[in-house]
Amino acid sequence: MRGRSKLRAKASRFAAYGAFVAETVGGPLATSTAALSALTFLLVLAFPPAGGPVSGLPVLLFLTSMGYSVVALAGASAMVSDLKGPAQVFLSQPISRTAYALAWLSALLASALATFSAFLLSFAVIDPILLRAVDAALAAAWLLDAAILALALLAAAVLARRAAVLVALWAAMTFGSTFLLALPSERLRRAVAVARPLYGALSGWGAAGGPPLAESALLAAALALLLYWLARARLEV
Amino acid sequence: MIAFEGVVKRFGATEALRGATFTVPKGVVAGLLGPNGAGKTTTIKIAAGLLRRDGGRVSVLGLDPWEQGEELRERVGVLHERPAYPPDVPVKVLLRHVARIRGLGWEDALQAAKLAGVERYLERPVSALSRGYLQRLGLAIALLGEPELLLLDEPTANLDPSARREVLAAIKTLGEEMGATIVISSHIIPEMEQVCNYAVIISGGVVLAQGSLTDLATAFGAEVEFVARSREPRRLASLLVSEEGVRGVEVEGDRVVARAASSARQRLEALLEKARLEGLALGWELRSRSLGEVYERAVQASR
Repeated sequence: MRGRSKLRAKASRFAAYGAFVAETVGGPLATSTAALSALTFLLVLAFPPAGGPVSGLPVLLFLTSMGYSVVALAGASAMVSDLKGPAQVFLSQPISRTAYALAWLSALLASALATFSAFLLSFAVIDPILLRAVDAALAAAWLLDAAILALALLAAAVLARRAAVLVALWAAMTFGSTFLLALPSERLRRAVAVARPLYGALSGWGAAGGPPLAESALLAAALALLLYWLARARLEV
Repeated sequence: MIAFEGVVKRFGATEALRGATFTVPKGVVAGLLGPNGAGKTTTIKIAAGLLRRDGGRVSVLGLDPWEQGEELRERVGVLHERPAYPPDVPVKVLLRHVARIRGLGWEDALQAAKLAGVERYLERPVSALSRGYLQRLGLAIALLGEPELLLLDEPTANLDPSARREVLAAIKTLGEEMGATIVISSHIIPEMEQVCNYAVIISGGVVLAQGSLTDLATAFGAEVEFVARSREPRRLASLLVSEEGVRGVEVEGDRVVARAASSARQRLEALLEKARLEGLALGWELRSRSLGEVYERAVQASR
């Protein structure tokens, strides 16, 4: 009974801090997500007529993913700013370091889900038939790609606490991946396809067997564990 | 209540704490005194579980602050030296969220705001508050839920003289009314002397001395002060003034205040106790007004 009430208290504290992140720092995230959704809607309207309903799909998926990557970078940078000041006020309350990091991760993952849902909604509003073009593997690749990026950026935020490091990581994961996928090395291309599953899928890597989603999921899990460990052992304010 | 044993904390090549060892008993108002860079803020943050120690042992309310921080901070309030808040958030929103994290309602937040004197600024954004009111907001947050232990890091830093007096009076009242144990870090000795009855003197990451103010005065050969009440204050004063080691006696109404060398402490305690049993003194207490002297001697002895 005591264990359950402890768990309830933990959940309630996490919800209270999560609500604060959503109400304050989450404001710009929500605005960016909404702007990105509107842009997606306009692009969906622009692309389908050219040569069938799915011709513009890779471009749309890439652009929404790119847009989300900027949102994730902004969110992780906001966490860096928070760690330099306000975090010590909240971490002086009965909230654990892991709950603090989890609240930020939740905000970024919720933003990813909202972006992708808005993307699908745009298809459904214009013509539900368009939804058939987005198969499960592609959807999983988009979501895993967003999760890996968010986890990597947050882990870097806790570890380095410098916005410049986040920008460098973001640039490496965004532009560096595109560059590496163009190289002839199969091993490198596979590594990129695991780290950026959407990029891998869009570039046609592993077209026969599909993108290596299981490995990407493992990478996301490993990054989640790394973030948990960093928050537990290294999150000093 | 608080026990540090050989605590070491490094920031890169800098050793902020070098085997700090001290205890703070329950119910005292303790001053953590030392010059800038002595390790006061590091000590407060380690006690609150915000920094991890690199060596030694720490116990606060029987818990390990780094490992059991969440549980500990349910019972501890912390005021940081320069608290930074999200700038555009109204005071009310911030207080409400922090209260929620502590499992408290708006009524509790409002009560803490009133205690700290920020209730008139609840609708304003944090960025619109003056330095003094930011400090009060920090105090309001620290007071939420009436914690057993208050850790206040330089609570009067950057305040004007009247605000300093108000914050110090508020701390004194809190100590008396809430019965909380309070640890205040500061390098302003006269202010600490007004509110503290216990001190830990730290310099260069090492604890130089600790104890009640009167015990410290005795240990370092500083002056002590006896305050007695009597129906015949002049008679009691004449008895005291003839004693060896007494440096001055003043009579204020029914109160007799005698300043004496610490070497005379035991003798004067015995004399006053005898006077009390015979009815000449209604009661007496020992206090110290020589914390500055103790601090200087402790620092000198460490060199």
